[in-house]
Amino acid sequence: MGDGDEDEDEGEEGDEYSDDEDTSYKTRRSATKVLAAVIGTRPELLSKVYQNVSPVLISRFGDREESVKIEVWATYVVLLNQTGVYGRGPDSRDSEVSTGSKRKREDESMEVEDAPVVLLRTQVAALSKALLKQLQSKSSAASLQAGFQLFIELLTVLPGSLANQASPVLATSKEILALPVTTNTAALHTTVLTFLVLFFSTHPPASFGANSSAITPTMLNAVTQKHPRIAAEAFKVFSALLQALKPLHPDKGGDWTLQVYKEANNRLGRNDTDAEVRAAAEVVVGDLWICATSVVSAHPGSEWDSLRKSGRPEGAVQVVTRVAAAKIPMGTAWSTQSIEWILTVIRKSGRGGRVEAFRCLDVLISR
Amino acid sequence: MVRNITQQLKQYLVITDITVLSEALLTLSGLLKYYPKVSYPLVENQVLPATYQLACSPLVTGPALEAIQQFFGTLVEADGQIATHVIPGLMKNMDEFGNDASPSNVSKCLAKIVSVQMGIAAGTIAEFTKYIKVDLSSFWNRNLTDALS
Repeated sequence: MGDGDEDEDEGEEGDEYSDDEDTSYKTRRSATKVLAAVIGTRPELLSKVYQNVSPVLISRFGDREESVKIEVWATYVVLLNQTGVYGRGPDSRDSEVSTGSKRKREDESMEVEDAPVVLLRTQVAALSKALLKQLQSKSSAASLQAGFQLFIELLTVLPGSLANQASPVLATSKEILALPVTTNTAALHTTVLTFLVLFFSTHPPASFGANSSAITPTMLNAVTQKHPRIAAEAFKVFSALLQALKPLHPDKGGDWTLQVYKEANNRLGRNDTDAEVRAAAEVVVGDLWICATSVVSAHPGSEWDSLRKSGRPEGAVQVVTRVAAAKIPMGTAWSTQSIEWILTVIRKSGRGGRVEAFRCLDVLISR
Repeated sequence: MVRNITQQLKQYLVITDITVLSEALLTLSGLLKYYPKVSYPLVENQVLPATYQLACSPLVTGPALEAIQQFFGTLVEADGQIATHVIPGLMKNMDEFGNDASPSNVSKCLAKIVSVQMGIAAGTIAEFTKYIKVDLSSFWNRNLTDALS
């Protein structure tokens, strides 16, 4: 390690020890990189990695040097990615990892005792506990983002695996989302919200039921943010939450559903709304009508007019199709107006959008 | 509303865009299924002649052919009386097409009509058996000739 490296590392914040005296963190960081390279290139060793290396990596989740800590988490992300691809069947441990054979795909549905995914499941509790300990609001944005990225990968490989840690996970998420949105923290907010989308869509409502009401005020604040990605992700979180908690009614989640509905209406009614936010708002309007019908039908807004006036009707077509297919009692006027609108869409749209518009018309006719 | 839909869908009953054609036929089938009383007269007057021609075209294949079969199925289900008119209508159009017609497509549509309206099965089978007999005799002749040679 040359002097140049040392100069570069000395500038890092949060060091509670002298780099001049202790440079062992460089060794740890390099060793972690070697492990990442081995994990990324030798999927047949996944089970051995889970038995011998994973516990050590987890024990290093709280390394005092931040750059090492982030490197350890990144290495674990590589491990999770590899587990998602190769870790479900016995073939993943054999040498035929790169064949991508049909047999391997068939075996993916079977789980054996020492399959990587099974070994991972046994380590989830320790992993999440160690990681949550590091995710404090005083940590750097980069560090927090890396931590939540690890959680996202974990839920991608093992959906619903954080059910037992729902309370601290949501409390930590809330704490981080409460941080002010700045240029530095915008990406962090987006990552946390993406994680929450995955969390709410992969866990049973019983695991987070009471805790969800504690985080909704923070998410409602995120929905009103100017930053388009944050607002869009926040709408997606509410979509996932609505799907998980349905059916919702005025005395169960009525307060926040109404506020989401108002904000979605507000965003859809404005001409300056970002395309991504508009798309997410359109989806959430559909979810609100499907999952919280009694709440939104009591406060009719102008969302359908806004949807039908949208310059890009693809999203609106999907929403109308979903609501019509869910057999929500929308009234004859809504059906008639929707049919008139979809006929216009069919007449105007190109080849791509026409098929979806026809499907929408079919669903509307069948109501 | 049904009138507006039928009016607009009529223009898509051409083979220039086979995907849109399938979708339009399926939507018309939906109208016949859910609103038979209102949609049937409109479909009979405005749509049926075009579908006869489509059924005879060899260019109608795959999902479009399935859609047209479904259309004829729901049409004769909406009004049982029309089955006896649709079969001659199809045959007449096939004759007009001449060598460019697709007897295979037409026979599939006839099969769908008969399977929905089993009351006309006996008469239709009797009508078409003569063609099969001709085919069978030529089949046997060919095989006997092969066997004797």
